[in-house]
Amino acid sequence: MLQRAGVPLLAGFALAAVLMPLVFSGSSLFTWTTAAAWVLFATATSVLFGWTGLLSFGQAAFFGMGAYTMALLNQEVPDLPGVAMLVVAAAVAAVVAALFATFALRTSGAEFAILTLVLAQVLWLLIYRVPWLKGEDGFSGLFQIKILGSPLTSDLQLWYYTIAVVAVCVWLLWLLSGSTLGMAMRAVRDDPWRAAALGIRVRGVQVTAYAVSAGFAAVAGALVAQGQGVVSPAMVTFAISGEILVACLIGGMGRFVGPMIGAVVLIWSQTMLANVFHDSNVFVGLLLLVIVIALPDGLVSIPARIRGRRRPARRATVPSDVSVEEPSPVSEVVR
Amino acid sequence: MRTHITRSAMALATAGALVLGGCASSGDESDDGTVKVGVVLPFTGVQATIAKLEGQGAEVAAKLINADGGVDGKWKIDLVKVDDQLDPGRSATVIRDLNDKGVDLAIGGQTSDLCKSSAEASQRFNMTFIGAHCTSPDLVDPPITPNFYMIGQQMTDIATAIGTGLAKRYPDIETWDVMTYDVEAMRLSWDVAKKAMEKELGRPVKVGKKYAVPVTATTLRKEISGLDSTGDKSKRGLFLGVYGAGTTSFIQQAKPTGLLDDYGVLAQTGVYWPTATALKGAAPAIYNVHDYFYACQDTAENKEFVAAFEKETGEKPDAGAYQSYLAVRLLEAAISKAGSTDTAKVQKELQGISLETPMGTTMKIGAETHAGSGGVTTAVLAGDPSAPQGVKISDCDVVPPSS
Repeated sequence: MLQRAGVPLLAGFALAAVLMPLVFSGSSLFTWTTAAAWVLFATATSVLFGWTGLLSFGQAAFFGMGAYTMALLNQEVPDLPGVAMLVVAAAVAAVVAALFATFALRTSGAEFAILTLVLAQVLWLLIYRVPWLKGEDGFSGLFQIKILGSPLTSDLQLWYYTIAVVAVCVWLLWLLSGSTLGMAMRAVRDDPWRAAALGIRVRGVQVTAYAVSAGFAAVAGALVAQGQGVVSPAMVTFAISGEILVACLIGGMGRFVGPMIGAVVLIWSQTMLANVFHDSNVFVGLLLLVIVIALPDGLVSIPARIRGRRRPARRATVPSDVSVEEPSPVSEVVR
Repeated sequence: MRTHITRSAMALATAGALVLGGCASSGDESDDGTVKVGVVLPFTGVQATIAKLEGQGAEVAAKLINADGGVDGKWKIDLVKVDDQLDPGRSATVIRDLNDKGVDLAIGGQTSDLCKSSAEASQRFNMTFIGAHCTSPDLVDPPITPNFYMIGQQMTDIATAIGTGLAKRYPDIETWDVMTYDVEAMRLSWDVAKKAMEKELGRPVKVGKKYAVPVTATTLRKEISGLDSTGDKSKRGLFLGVYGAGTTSFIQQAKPTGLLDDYGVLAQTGVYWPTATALKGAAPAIYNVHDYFYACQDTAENKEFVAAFEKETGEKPDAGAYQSYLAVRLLEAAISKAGSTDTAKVQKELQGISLETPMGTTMKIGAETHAGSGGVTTAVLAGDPSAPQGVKISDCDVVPPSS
């Protein structure tokens, strides 16, 4: 019962919230703060990619939309509480996503993925073309956003705030995962025709998944922006869309926590390698490539692999003329 | 299966803490006769060539100061370089790295958005940050953060100088084609230059093709095709508001079309020197404006700076190197005046401080604006195999700071 309600998940976040500042400080704690926001971004992306089976190359659009919405709110309504800004950012992204998906989901597969990429590119271009989005200059002053009546004046406060918001959002996604809607998403992913035959409104479920994913991605983007204090077009680039998919693949989407682990590995490998190598992105790319190739089911598959090695192999002999269908890496999400 | 959630979450927290524990460190204030100065620049990426020269300028300043016994005879300067990778997000992290290393004073910021993000991040630790290379007037008067000071000459002064200079030297140009980076400071550079030209000429200036490209753009074929299609260019000028890799890419891609030879005049705001030297004597002549050109200044301090820079690097300093040099010198002056390396005291002394520059002008930091006004220089930079580093600098005009 407690597990179904996500209590262990919340306990894990609470433990991390308390433990990290005891061990880390300064730049390292800030990296954990960034990683926490990316944990939410990856989990939100997994709603689309892992649960519903919709591949999006344009998640940066909603990540950036959250950041820009927050920056604009901070500029126009500076006294609005930060949490309210997050809610508005999520709502804006979810509405835009729902409208977009209503039309874009007339296509499927690669065509849909390309349309999501186009959406992100259009937003990126708008940032340069619409004067009030300030082009390359972007926005600053996001440290001044008020949380509980005053700005976050230290990295420790920023950590507690970020991890609290991420914990609540991930917990909501956990509840969604176990709900009827979450199961419908997986049914649509596994076999849309069969899902439709069972009475599931496939398009409606897909549109909802896209909107939910966008809303939480926007919250993640807004948190990152608040942490950096600035918003720039770099938050809407294709690199961000690619990185979050890589994070999902690294962690593995067979389990709820897979994308979360992938996000932490991605952010930390970027940070640590940047301190060691010039042009570190090349090495980050190579490292992640090795992980994805060596562990096609992601880092969450390591325990199962270890258990498999310990047990003696008891494989049935398969005749050479019988094809064995490999299970899809995302054929099941184990909570 | 659900127990995995607990295990994984705990593993995430504890394993991370244990494995990465070595990364954690606390900022310790060193009082061992050294003062740490952070240098925040994009040492990798498309603007790395410019950043290298800028970093070398800071190194030369530190070496000269240390050779003279250190700041106020008490503190040797220890430069701590960090790479912001031209990414505002990354600069938020590297500023924290500096804080972890006990750095309270820093310089850098190659572009306006990097100055913004560095200033915002450093404000958390009350770290003094001198924006040495950014030029946007939006960053100062009032300063974006109380700890931020800008010594790159403001784009309004730079653009006014080039606009006035172009009108005086090339009055027969009838139409101007324009290509700038799509950043406010560079877009503004053309607007201000045009206004100055019109004021000097006493007539409106005609604008032909106008393009704004991202600061990371290196493929400019579409814009070059557009410029190439404008017909006779003998009475046309081309105004470039790009720098670094953008200028290099433009010249390399435009050269085969003959475009560069056809224009009546090429003009550029922003850094041209590294591009011109890289073209090894074949750089097209460009009327350039910046804070400083080494050959335009005839002062004892400039001679010392140029000689020290050449000794250190085997090259002549450019405006970026000069700006970093000046930023470190400014910190030296403020620390000496404060008699302390304490960041709050240094910030207080920076307000309203004056410094004699190698340009022969006096730079004054506005007490309220936090902007340093030190004058700008215009000159023609042209490829010449017999000149130092293959670039001849001529037609210099030093424009002193407006009072």
